[in-house]
Order: sequence, then structure tokens, then C-alpha cells
Amino acid sequence: MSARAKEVRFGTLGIYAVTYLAFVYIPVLFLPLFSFNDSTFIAFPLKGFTFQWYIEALESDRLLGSLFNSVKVAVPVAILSTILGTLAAKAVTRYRMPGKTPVVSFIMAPLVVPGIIVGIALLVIATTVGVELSLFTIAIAHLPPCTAFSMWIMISRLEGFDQSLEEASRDLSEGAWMTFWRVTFPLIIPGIVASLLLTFTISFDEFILAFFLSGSEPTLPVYMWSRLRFPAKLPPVLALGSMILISSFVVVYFAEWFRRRGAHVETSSGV
Amino acid sequence: MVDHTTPKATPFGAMTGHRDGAFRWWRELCLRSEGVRGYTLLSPTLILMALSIGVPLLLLFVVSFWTQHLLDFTPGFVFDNYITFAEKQSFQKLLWRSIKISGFVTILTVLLAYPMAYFIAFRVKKNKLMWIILITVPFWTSYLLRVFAWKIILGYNGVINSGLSSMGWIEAPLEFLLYNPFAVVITLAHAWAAFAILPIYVSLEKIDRSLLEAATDLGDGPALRFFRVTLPLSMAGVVAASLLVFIPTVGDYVTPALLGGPKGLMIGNLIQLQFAKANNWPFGAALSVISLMSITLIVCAFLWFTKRVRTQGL
Amino acid sequence: MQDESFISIQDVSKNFGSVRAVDRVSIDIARGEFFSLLGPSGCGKTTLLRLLAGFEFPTAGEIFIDGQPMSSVAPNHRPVNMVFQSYAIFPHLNVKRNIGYSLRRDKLSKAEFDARVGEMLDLIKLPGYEERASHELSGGERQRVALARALIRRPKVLLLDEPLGALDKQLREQMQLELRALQRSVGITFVFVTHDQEEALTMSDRIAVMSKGRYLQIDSPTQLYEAPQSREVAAFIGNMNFFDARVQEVKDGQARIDAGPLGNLSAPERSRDLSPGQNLLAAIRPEKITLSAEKPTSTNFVKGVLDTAAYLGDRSHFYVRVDGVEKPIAVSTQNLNQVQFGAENKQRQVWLNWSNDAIVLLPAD
Repeated sequence: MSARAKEVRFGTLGIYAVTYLAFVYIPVLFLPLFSFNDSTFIAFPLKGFTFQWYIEALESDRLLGSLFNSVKVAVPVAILSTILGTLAAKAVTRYRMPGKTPVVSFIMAPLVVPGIIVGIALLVIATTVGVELSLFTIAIAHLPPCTAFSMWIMISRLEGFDQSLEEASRDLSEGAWMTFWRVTFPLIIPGIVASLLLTFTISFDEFILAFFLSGSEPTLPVYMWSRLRFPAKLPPVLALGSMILISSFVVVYFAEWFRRRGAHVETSSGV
Repeated sequence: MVDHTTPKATPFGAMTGHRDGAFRWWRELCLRSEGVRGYTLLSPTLILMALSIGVPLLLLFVVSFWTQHLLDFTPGFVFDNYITFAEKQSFQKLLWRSIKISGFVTILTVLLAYPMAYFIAFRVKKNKLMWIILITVPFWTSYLLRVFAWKIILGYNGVINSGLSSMGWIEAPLEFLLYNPFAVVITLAHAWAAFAILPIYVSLEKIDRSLLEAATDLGDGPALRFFRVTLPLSMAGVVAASLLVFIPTVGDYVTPALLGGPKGLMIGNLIQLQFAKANNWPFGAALSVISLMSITLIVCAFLWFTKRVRTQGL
Repeated sequence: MQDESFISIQDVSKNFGSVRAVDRVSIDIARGEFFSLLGPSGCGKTTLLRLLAGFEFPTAGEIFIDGQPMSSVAPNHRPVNMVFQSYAIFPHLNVKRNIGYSLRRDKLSKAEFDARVGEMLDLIKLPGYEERASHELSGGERQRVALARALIRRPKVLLLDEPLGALDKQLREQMQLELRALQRSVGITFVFVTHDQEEALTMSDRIAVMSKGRYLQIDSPTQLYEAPQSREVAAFIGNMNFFDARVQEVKDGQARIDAGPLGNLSAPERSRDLSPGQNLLAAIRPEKITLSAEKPTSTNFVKGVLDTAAYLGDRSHFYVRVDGVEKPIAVSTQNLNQVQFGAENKQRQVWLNWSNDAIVLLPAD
């Protein structure tokens, strides 16, 4: 292919790429845009710049309460699902087991079963067994998808991991547990951090399961859903959403940075 | 001959002493069999999954055979709910519409995502990371807000309408934008974009570049090369992306509720209704089972169909 | 008796699914021996090594080390340490912590710890390397650090899995001699896996030539080279010329064989219990054949035509066609003086001759 033709190719595809990015971003960017708009109506033309919605958001007890609830759910879920996901990933990547494929598919299943079906199934169980709906039930519901996700991340991390490092440790002096602590864990920390951050984000943003399984204390997405019915109460929600958008950006960037940093450590050692 | 009876007192010999103790038989079994070791590690996760997904789904299946009158559940084994579904055409139409909408969303999303993934995999030389992050980040914000963002854009007083009318391009707001399947499809295609790009990107990245060089060397131009080598080798990613988009979309009810209008409602909304106002849990359960089975059927058909492309190319 | 079967592998087999990687192998390795497992990839040598290390568990059979059965002993509890093919240097630890890795459970004071590590660094001739990061090491340095790490607790047995494969030729040859010297000075039993037969011949006390999960022959390097017991072993170690032959008569430890186009030859019987009329394979090493322009005066000679000549600096390889023999016969001569037969001598008539005990007799295919 001639150099000229190649340039053109890049050009077309490149233009497409930029357009696509715009398509992905612009709708999302309207949120911060209108969160500074001095008007309760979300429409053009823009009326003026104001911080009042942010102030209103930060002063709302119920809004902040739901934010806190989301954190109360997301932190334990992130920790527990990362632990379970890492254990599962280690089992899957290190050992030959009969029936591994169906088992792994079963564990990944939560990622593809529609949330609403899982939500009502859990609701049915909770009601049948007589468990009261609360933040705890939401956390239980979040564990499967987060664990599946964590396992997916950790599998890709562990697969590129030189197994002979663990074998060397086991050969020299350590049993399985100490080998994990002294050799495997330090080297997969970037993956673990990424898993913690991403499972936190999933749980934090999750709506459907929370909606079905929340009791008197709503999580943030559930609270937002209730606000969406009242147009006048919208702008503070937009303000909050924008704040979440920015912080998610920061969190995810960190997660990726950590993950890639881990890869650098492995490859630079040349092992 | 070799003396087996008295273990020698060596530094290593002393260690083996602690093998006697609790669960010795278990430890020995672990030593011999990788399978035992693996499943031991896997057990907490498996148990969690079984209890939180397996059991609930099973129970759902059972409940679908019950009936409910007002607040009373009647456990039993009757097909009433399924018969109700089979009899009412509107229900079937709803399911079919949901599948169609999800199908459209899937096709649209994957078609739009593929060139983007291709761009990052093949055209970007440095900083692929940056591109991936850029694409992924919006996805990690609140789903609700993203759906809502489209409501803002497409609404009667929304961005498009108020923008166009303040510039004088239209006199009355366009009404066809919102509260119909069109709105649902656009919103969901936007929402799932990143989810579709990632698997396709990963499978494109894995393609050994020397395969493409070999194809060129053997006489293929860029188009042929794409269809005969690149596309088949990336099919695994395309399939994964399709499944990741299609399956959750069928059950989605947030987007249809917010901007589907009466014509854009999907089966998820009907299911949710059974657990709210309509108060017919067993029927809701039956609808869920029917949806799950339909999804499974379609997925199997899809996998079978794409298998041919994956193994032989187009 | 204990010393001769310091490591005793008794009728061990290992299956992976339907693949039999190790097939009923019984080997006794003596204390302090440098023992090599030699064979092509897939022959089972690495699997056998891993069985000794404890990373695989035998499907059948038993392994004893210094009299102790190893069947319920985990890798970290065996008196065995391993040097891995990839060296497996821990990338997040510096040289000192790598070498001293297994000392942690001994709970030494800092001074003792440093002293032990220092001792090992002296042994591997890398003094002062304590604080180096692992990614700063060259290939040869990594190999030595891996060695030091494995030796620091004085295991009874050291297992080495093709440790020199990643090094360039000169470094590899140097390391071969160093490893041999190290083994002699430290006195530990080495079990060494390699696919490079020259390497095995250089370093080993005894070699087990393996193929398809079994061993073909276990012998000292000299014996393997001079008295191989099968075609496979003969062909694997060094180069060989093979011909079909039949026994005519056996007298005084020498056999007269009819080697077809090569005529009647004489070869030592070497307690093969041969009988007249028996078919077998005759083999002769290229360097044991002498090439001359004139007809030789000795008894074993054959006339041929020079087909190809290759100059290798210290040696020359010639390929000679003999009437009736399918493959050209390979001859290897040291270039003591000027090269006698260069390219211009092609198609020239030559004579091949060898001594009476140069031919090795092997079972027929």
C-alpha cells in the first residue's frame, strides 16, 4: 500500500475515532454543563453560572446520607470480592482441575444474567426466608458480579505471572501460604489495587440490585432515581453526578496506572 | 537395603514431623492431587455463587409455578402463569419487542465499536493506554445519569430541541426524539459502547502481526486481508462483546422506563411491575424464566452461527 | 549400599491425562555424583526432575532420598533444591534477599544472615553484589545467583533444569567447568537435565539417556560414547555411521562380520553373546576412520570416492561414497597439518581404514 494511501486510511479511521469519542463523551458532559446553569430547567439557552446546586447538594442530609450508604456497601464488597476473586483466580490459573471450564463459566455467570432477574430472585429468597431488606442485603447481592469481575481481572494478571517464581519459593523453603505472601502478593499488588478500585466503583454505581433489595436506607443511585421524578429537584442531582463523574475519572485512571505499573515490574526483570 | 523405619534426624527430617496432626489426610490429598488443591481454593467463591445466584434462580423457577392472590401465595405446581403468557398476545409481543430492541442495540453497538477498537489496536502506536482509558472512563460513571443525560438531550425541552429552536432552525420541538424505541436504542448503544470495545480490542491486539504480513505477501489486498484473516481471528472478541451487550439489555428496565414511552417498554418493565403495582410475584417469576430461556436459545443459536465464521472465515 | 542409592527412583511412572511422560523408570544415583538426564524435548527428563523436586506426584512408584520416602513430603520440606531454567530470580527482591530467601525460617541475626549471604557470593565469585537489583543482572550473573540461592542451605541434592541453555556459547562452556568444579568442592549430589549431549559429556559422572519416558542407557560418558548399547543412544551421542551386517564367526572376543559392500570386517564382541548368522547393526565413529590417498597396509579398509568436504577450522568433515552403500560415509579428521583434501579433490579416489576395535556392534533395528 502506498504511503499516501496509508495516510488516507489513518485519516478516515482517525476521524471516525475522534467522532466516536465525541459521541461517547458529549452526552456525559452535559451533566456538568447544566449543573452550573442558573436555572431549574435543563434546556438551552444557558442562563448563567452558579454554584448553588453544588451547595444545595452538599447541604442535603438525605443526599449525603445515601452517598454514605453507598460507601458503606461498596467498601466491604470491594474487599471481600477481591479476596474471593483472587483466590478463585489463583485456583483457576495454577491448578489442573477436572471440570474447570463449566465451573469458571458458572462463576462468571453473574456478569451476563440480567440484573433485574437476579434482583427479583434475591428479593423472592429474602422474602421467603424472612430476611429484612437493608444495606446488608444489597451488599450480598453485589458480591457475585463484583467477585466475577475481580476474578476476571486477577486471572489476566496471574496468567502472565511466571509460575517458576512460586515454584522456586516452594522449593526453597516456603509452603503455599507463605509463598503467596512473600512472592505472589507483592507482585500482583497492582492487580489487587485495580480490582479493589473497580469493584468499589461497580458496587457504588449499581442501581438495579440496590433498587430491589434496599430497605429504608437508599444507596445513592436509588436516591437519584427517586429524585428523577421531580424536575425541580434535578439540578442538585446533576451537581452530585458531576462530582461523581470527576472522581470516577480519577479513580479509574489510578486503577489503570497501577495495573500497568505492575506489568512493567514483571517485564523489566526479564524473567 | 534401604532403611525406611527410622527417619534420620536431619534439618529437613525434623520438618516432616509436623505432618501428623489435624487434617493430615486432607493435606496429603492436597499434595497428591492438584484438583483437590484447586477446588479447595475455589470453594468459598463457588459456595458464594451457588448461594447467591444458583439458589435464588432455582427458587425463582419454583415460584413461577405458584399463584398469588392479593397478598397470599399459593405454593403448588401449576402452569397458570405460563399459560397466561401464552394466551396474551401483548405479552408475547412485548418479549419479542424486547428481543428486537436488544438485537438492534447489539448490532449497532458492535458495529460502531469495531472500527474504534481496530483503530486503537492497529493505528495507534504510542499511548494505547490513554485511548483505552478515555473510552472506558465514561462507562464507569453512574448508569442512571448517563441514561438521564440522553433524556436531557432528546427531550421536549431538551438540548437538541432548545438548541435548534433558539438558533431558529425549527419552530416547534421535535417530538419523535423521545419516548419511543428509537430513544431506547440510542441510549443503550451509548451506554454499552465501552463494554463492547474492550473485548474486541483485546482480541485484535492478540493477532500476530506476522500473520497479516504473510497474507499480504501471499497476495491479499487490505480488504481481503481484513475479511480473511483479521475478522475471523477477532471473532472471539466480537462474540464476547455481542453477548455482553445483548444479554443484560434484554432485561433492562431503567432506560425504557425513563425514555421508552409506551411504545418503548420492554419485558423488564413488565417484570418489575409484577413486583410493584401488579403484585403478582409468581407471574413475574414466570416471565423471568421465559426471558432467560429465550435469551439462552438465542445465544446458543448465535454461538452456533458464528462458530462457522470463527473457524473458517467468511 | 546407602551411598550408591542415595537417590532411589523405584519404578516411577507419571501420567498427564492419557500421556505417559515417565514410564516405569528405576534409577539409583550415588551420593556426591554428578548425574545427568539427557534427551530430546519430550523425553520425560524435566518431568522426572520435577518428580524429584516434589512439584509433580508419581502416578505409580516411589522415590527415596537418603533412605526417606518422599511420597508425602512437600517440595519445601524435601532435602532438595532446584535451579530453574528461567532462573526464577524474584524481581521484587535484591540479590541479598534472593540468595538469603530460604534463611528466613532459620531466624538468624542480621550479622549471621549477611555473613552467610556473603559466603555464597564469594563462592559464586560475585562479591559485593548484595544490594544489586535483580533486573540489573546479566544472564550469567542471574544463573549464579540462582545457584547460590539454591545452595545456601546445603541441600543434599541439587536439581538443575537446563540452567545453561540461555547463555552464549563461550559463557556456557566456562560455566560448565565452573559448575563441575563447584560440585566437586561442595560435594553435593547434582541431578542435571540437558538436551545438549556435549554438555552432558563434559560435566557428568554418569548420564541417563532418555527417550519417550524411559531411559535407554545409563553409563559414564566414556562408556556411552565408546560402547553405546542401541542405535538410538549411538545416534544421539556424537555422530555415527551405521551399516547392516551379519555375523560370520566369533573367535577370541573378536567377531567377523559380513558388512555387504564393505566386505568382511572385524569388530570386538564386547560380551554381546553373538552367534553366527545373527543380523546386527555395525557402527563406527567418523573420527575413527582415516582417509588416505594411497591404499593402506592395515586389514580394515574400503575404497571410495570423495563426495563432499567441509572445513571447520580445527577439523575437516568428509563424505565418501562407497559402491553399494546408500549413504555417504562421514569421516572426521583433525587438521594437524595442511588440509590434505580440499574442494579440488572432489571425485578423487580415496581409501578409508580403521583399527580393529573401532567398530561398535549394536542390535539390529
